[in-house]
Amino acid sequence: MIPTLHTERLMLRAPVMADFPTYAAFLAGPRSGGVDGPLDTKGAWAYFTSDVALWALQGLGALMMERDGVLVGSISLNAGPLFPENEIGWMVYDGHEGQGFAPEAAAVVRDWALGPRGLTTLVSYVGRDNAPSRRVAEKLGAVIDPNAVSMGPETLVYRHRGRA
Amino acid sequence: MTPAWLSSPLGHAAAIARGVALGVPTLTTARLRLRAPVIGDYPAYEAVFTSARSVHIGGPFSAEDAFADFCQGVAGWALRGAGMWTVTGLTDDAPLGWIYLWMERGDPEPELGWILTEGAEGRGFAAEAARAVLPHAVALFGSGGFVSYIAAANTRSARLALSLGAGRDPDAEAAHPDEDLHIFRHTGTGAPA
Repeated sequence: MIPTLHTERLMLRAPVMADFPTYAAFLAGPRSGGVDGPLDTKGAWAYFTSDVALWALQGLGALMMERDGVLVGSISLNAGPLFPENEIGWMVYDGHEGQGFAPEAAAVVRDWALGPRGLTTLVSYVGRDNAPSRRVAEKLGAVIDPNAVSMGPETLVYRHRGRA
Repeated sequence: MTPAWLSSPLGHAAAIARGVALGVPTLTTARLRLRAPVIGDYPAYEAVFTSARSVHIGGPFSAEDAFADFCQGVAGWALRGAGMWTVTGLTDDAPLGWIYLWMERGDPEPELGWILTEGAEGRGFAAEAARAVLPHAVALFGSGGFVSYIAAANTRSARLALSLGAGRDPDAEAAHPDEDLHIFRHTGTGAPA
């Protein structure tokens, strides 16, 4: 089944329908540029259903970050026609940014993905100008792989290593 | 070479995927099996949705939109308890088509829908599969609580809807923004005729 993971402050759990309004609101908002936003409801629904469907199709997908019962963001393990390699991405919803939730949650999901889940490679596609996400990738110990296939000329590929 | 995302999951990943798909009921009819979709079904899905076969449902679609549609059907099971089945033969696991029981983004009501691959046409497979799903639809949404949205030009699907006992709903059609859409309401009990 879909795993539930824990960090010091967060529970990471499977997405449910009730998460969608918050998820879509973030993607419609001004902070969504790093994930190709802003997106309308159709675009957000495509992201959300991919996040959920991948669990059934590939045994990976998104986990929602919850702190004390409040939805604060999500970590997505991505695969599919748009992604050259398996990817880990993060979204911290409005009002919850700046508290270190993304690296805290992504570290645990990365370790699960490269550990029990059995992925052999994992990258993050981050826009060159997306300073907050670049800081998250660097905090996770990921390093830019200049030779990796990217999703676009302005997108950097950060490669993750498993827990040593 | 098959790209990684199109390859069937192995090991722990396969166990997770199987566990998630366990929520999808498998139905069998005289000639068909309706089962949870798997990633290996996707190339056949993309072929249908990027071709003229999808013209009555708003296609042909880009590959990106075809994948989004496939994911919408798969995700429905976890999100809403209803979604998409892959229809296969009883002995051959290759997809013959897909049956949908879901509320598509933007649709006013839950829908029962169907599409077949080109090679599966003309043998009554869509009707046979849809008939097997009717009792589930009635259990989930109640008799009269779901419809089939069918393009006015799609006379074959309209005949199929009529053969399932559905009838056009003029009020629902008047309320729908798409004037070229016929809306068939399923008001039976789902029991075999």
